[in-house]
Amino acid sequence: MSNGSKERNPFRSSSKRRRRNDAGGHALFAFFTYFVLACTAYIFLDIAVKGAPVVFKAEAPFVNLGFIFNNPETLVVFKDGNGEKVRMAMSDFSEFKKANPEAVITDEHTFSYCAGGIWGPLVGTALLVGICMVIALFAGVASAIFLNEYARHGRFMNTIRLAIMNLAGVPSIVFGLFGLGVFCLWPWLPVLTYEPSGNAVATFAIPFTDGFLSFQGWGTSMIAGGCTLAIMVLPVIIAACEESLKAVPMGFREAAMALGATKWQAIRTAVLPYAKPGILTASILGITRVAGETAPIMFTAALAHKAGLPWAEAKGGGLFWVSDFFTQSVQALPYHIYTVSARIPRSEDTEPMQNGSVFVFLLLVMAFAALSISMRARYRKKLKW
Amino acid sequence: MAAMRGPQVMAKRFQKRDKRFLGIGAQGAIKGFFGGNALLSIAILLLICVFLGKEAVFFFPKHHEELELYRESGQEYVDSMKRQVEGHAELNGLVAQAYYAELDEIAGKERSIVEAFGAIVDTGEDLGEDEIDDWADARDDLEDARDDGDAAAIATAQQAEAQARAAWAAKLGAITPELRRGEVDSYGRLTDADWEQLLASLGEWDPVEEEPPAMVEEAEAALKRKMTSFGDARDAFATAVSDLRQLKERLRGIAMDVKDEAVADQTAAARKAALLAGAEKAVQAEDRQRRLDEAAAIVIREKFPFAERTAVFYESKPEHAKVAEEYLVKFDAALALLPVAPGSPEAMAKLETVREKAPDFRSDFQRYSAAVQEWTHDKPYGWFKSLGKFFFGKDWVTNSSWHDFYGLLPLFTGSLLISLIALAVAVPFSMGAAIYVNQLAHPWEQHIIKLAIEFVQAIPSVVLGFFGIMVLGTFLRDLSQVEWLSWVPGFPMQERLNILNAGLLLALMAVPTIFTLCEDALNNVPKAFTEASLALGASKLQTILRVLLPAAISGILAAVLLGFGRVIGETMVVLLVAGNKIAIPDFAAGIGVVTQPAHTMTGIIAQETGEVDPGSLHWRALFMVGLILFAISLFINWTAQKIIHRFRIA
Repeated sequence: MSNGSKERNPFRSSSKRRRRNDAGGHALFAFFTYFVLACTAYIFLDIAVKGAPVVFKAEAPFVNLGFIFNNPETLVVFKDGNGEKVRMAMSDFSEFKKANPEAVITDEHTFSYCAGGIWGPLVGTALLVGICMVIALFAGVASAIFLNEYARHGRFMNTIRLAIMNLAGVPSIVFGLFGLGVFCLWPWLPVLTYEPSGNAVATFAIPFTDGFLSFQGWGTSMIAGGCTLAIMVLPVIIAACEESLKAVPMGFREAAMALGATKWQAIRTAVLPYAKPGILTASILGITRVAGETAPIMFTAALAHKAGLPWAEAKGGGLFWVSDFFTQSVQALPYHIYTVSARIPRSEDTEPMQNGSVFVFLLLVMAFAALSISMRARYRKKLKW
Repeated sequence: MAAMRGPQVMAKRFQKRDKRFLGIGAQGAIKGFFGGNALLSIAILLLICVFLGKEAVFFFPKHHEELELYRESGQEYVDSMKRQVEGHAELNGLVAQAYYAELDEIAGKERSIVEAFGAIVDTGEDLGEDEIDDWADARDDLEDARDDGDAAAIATAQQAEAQARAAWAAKLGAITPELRRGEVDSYGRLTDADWEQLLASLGEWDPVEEEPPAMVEEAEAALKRKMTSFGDARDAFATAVSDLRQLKERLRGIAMDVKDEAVADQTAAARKAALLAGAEKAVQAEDRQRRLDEAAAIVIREKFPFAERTAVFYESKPEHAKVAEEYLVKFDAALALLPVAPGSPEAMAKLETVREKAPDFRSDFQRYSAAVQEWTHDKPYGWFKSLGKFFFGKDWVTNSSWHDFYGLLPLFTGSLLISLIALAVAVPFSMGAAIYVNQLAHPWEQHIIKLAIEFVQAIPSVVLGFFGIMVLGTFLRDLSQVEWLSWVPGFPMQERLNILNAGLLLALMAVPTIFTLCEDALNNVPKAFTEASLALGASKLQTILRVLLPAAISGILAAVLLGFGRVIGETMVVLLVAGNKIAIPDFAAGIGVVTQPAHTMTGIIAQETGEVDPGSLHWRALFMVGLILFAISLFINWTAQKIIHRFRIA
């Protein structure tokens, strides 16, 4: 009589088919998941297998210290009198030629940046990341405190959140262009120098020294690169810090305020100490993101080759040294990898440098990633108030 | 007592000291400080707009100026002819390819017969050298005897000759089984019947006079016949354009000179001022005099006499009309000469393409002819046209001595194509993984997979690019050369670094983003939905596909969009792996287009920004591309937000 009997259960089907479909779906979804993971594992393995022999060795100290602690150099490959292939760094090669003027050298090739090690790029990356994290943590923690502790919901707040979210989606190369325009070329950024550049918009002689405070822009420099990276990583830091601030129970603040604390005193004594581990985790997460970036530093900070380490290259004394130190360009590991993989032809002579530097880089980034993940896990476990 | 003191001490510490400065208390100042930092994000976004905009905004006026110069100097006029010649060259290339394919394939059988016989001759002459010599001697003797007219001698000589012939025949019989077919017929194009026939006909072969069997002679004749008609057609095709090309080359030099002079004219005043300033500063008298002389030599003209200098182009218009008309006649004739049904399928396809493209080419050719006739140097360049030249321009040519073109289209196409491939691969995988983790996996599995995905996210892009160059590119190319995969469109691929390679790597980069957001979206679906579905008797799979996914669709869409934003803005992978060829990929290849190299918006910025002068037009063009990328990313984010809000489940 009623329509009910005609309406079929939309889910009705034979149980056998259903079970088969279910199993198939399950298998398909599992395949998708594990295929992605397998691909990733293959990439890691491939890089490890090719790179580990360059970085590690069988006898003590088990690590190829020369690869870690030398600067990149030009590689010379030639055939000696016996027709045997010899590989040498450029500096060794010139000494060798001086020592054996009669040596027969044939079939000589040179490959830039492919001998020596990666000490310069490693140091440069560490400096860039350091500068970036100091700036980003300062601004990021302050923003997070405002958003979580002070701001009230409303249009203003929504605008800020929208801005942060949009900032997170901006392509890294656009940050690079922005950094180039602002930190490298905008002339109203001050440096301390003995010889102001011709492009300076204003120079002031500093009394009692023969130096100047010159507004000439920072040029391609580690401070410019650090600032660019800081801006890029800001949304990540803000989000992570906010999470850790949110995790501190409201009761802590209320108790402090009830005891007569001002808002700021409550934050300082009852919130920040408990959010500290979370902020630390956020900073390591930020390091992971920043250390791997190449595009933003390509034209703001990095250069392919530099003879000495940054502190040896800086000139002057006191504040002038500090200024000169921060406004010099640096080598950076990701940029070094870009250089050796894109501009140097691939051959058995260049592969050790290529594979070795990628392996070290991946190892470092993954170590930081693992550290941040494990710290977060521990922190979350602890934070059961 | 002690317990009581704690709060008191604390309370004392917290005592308010309400000092105010300019009406702002300490608390207000602190709040202001934090608020200021939070405003930083907005400030940065605005600053990005300002600084990118500042560099980019003057791109269009300057670009417009350059385009006007392009027209005034007559370069536009010459380029119309150049496009005609280029259009011809494209078809001509196809015809040449067809010719060689034909030579290889069709004439293959005849060619193989001739070549196989050649190989047989080599072997036979090598192994049967003595017999051939003996036979030759015997025949000479017979000849001599016949000349002498001595009957007895003739008979002896005939006998000797017959013996030598028999010896050769025996030798040939011995050689024939030793001929290896694979070596003789190196292309392997002869059928069994052909092969047998060739071997059988070897008896007709006269190694002394080097006369081949009739079959081989026929093949040679056929080869010649077939290829000459095609060869003539090909030559006619190739030479049809030569008059037009000569005209173009002659005018091109003139246009180049006009442009250089006009540019020199524009900078004349500045150069003169610089020289005069230098002369004032110069210490040595002769140095100063030299500069003054140089400055005096620079003539500053109010306006460059384009009309006078470009008169030659106006004069050449009738000549071009004539040459163009002649060309079209020759083109049609050559087109008719091309063989209609060549034997090789490849040549057939190529010629087919030529015939298909011919009408378009003809209409383009006539359009360009019209453009040539209509060109006047002083017609103002339209603003819409100059904007269109950037946004829809098909060429991005920089550092050229002729004219720099800044057309976004090839870069945008490359970026879009790579991103779409990346999404097409990443979306099923990350959605599948999200469903698996959210609905099907064990708790410990969930934990491990999420952890692993975080590691995937942490892989630096330059490492992925390195992997693409070193491993994936080679792997894909080797895979594409596997014979039984040759039906796949685009296989075998020409280049190691191409769109597909970059797209696959970017897919891996997009997976963590899409996975995480998808998983969140699935998590946000109220538990009651799935429970109700299961209670109605639906299976797990049915629940997922018909209840869970529709309910989470807004989140999933947003996830895909944000993944797209991540992929289109990625730089290092595409810079290293996409092949960096600035051209719109040839979509005529169908899906096979993905195996071609391309360039991208992000890649071009990374590649060229370091090498151009700040403030130059090229520099501004790159900032303009950056601004467009920025706008795209903002748009994507904004749309994703809207989608999430619009379809949120209450």
